[in-house]
Amino acid sequence: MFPVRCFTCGKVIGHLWEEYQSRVASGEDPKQVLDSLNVTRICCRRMFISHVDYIDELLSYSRGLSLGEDYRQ
Amino acid sequence: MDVKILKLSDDYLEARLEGCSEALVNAIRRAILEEVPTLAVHEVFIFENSSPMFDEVLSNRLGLIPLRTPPGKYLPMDSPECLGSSEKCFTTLSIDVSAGDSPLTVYSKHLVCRDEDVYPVYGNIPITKLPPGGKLRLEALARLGRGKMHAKWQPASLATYSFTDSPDAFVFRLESTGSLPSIEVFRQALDILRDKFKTLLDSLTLPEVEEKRGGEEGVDFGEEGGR
Repeated sequence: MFPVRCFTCGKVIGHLWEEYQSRVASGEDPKQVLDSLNVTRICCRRMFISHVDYIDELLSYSRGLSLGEDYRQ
Repeated sequence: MDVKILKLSDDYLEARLEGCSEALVNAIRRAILEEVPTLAVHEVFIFENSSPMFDEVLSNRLGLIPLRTPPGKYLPMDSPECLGSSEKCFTTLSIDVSAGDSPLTVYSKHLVCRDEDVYPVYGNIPITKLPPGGKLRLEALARLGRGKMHAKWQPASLATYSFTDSPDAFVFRLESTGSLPSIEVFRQALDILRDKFKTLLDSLTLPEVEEKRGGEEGVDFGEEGGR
């Protein structure tokens, strides 16, 4: 999953990820998207452009059904 | 000292400080980053977590989510009055979500606090993702801490100053994480500095020993004498 904050400066960036991702997927230039999201520093910008989200691949290996209280006893 | 605010919004402050030394401006900067207290998740009790993310990673992410902090309502965890489990020392937040037939992304808005004055500043921070039928059930304690203990408690992601053409004027920039409005961060930093200097000033009275010593020779350093 995308980091909640920039590793270097600590700026909160988690809430910008989905907008960034959908706008870049629809063909916008990442540079323009980051500029309009007000992500100005290089440390925060690299968080976006270098991120690879692989949680969807892990999702198919996790057990969805809840273990429940009975299981623990 | 003359302060002129150039730009001000809830999460950004730019001010021109005039007629002060760089040391003072730096003291303000450090007070902001290290001393101004904010709320952040500090303890997490996980009852059920069927996301692919480990409990530890999940807790770390919860800690980094900025929480709106009502000033003065809670006691910093390093204050002497903050003992045990008093109401003023922490607040509780919880997440209870379950995915239906399709995967579900858990967002920061799913964090519900028992105190309605405390809430995640941004609601759409993805925390984790659940597989179909998955559940996430947890309780978290948020405590008031300081940036010097852990960066999650820093009220600002940017606190810096730059030089100007004049040697006694600086441009100060502050970018708040949203836990506190930027102007409140600045104000609290100044309050903290004032209290620190007051403590220093109060301890600057002459020690009583000096006055009543009279004819005795030497200063008493304890049992070992003045070695």
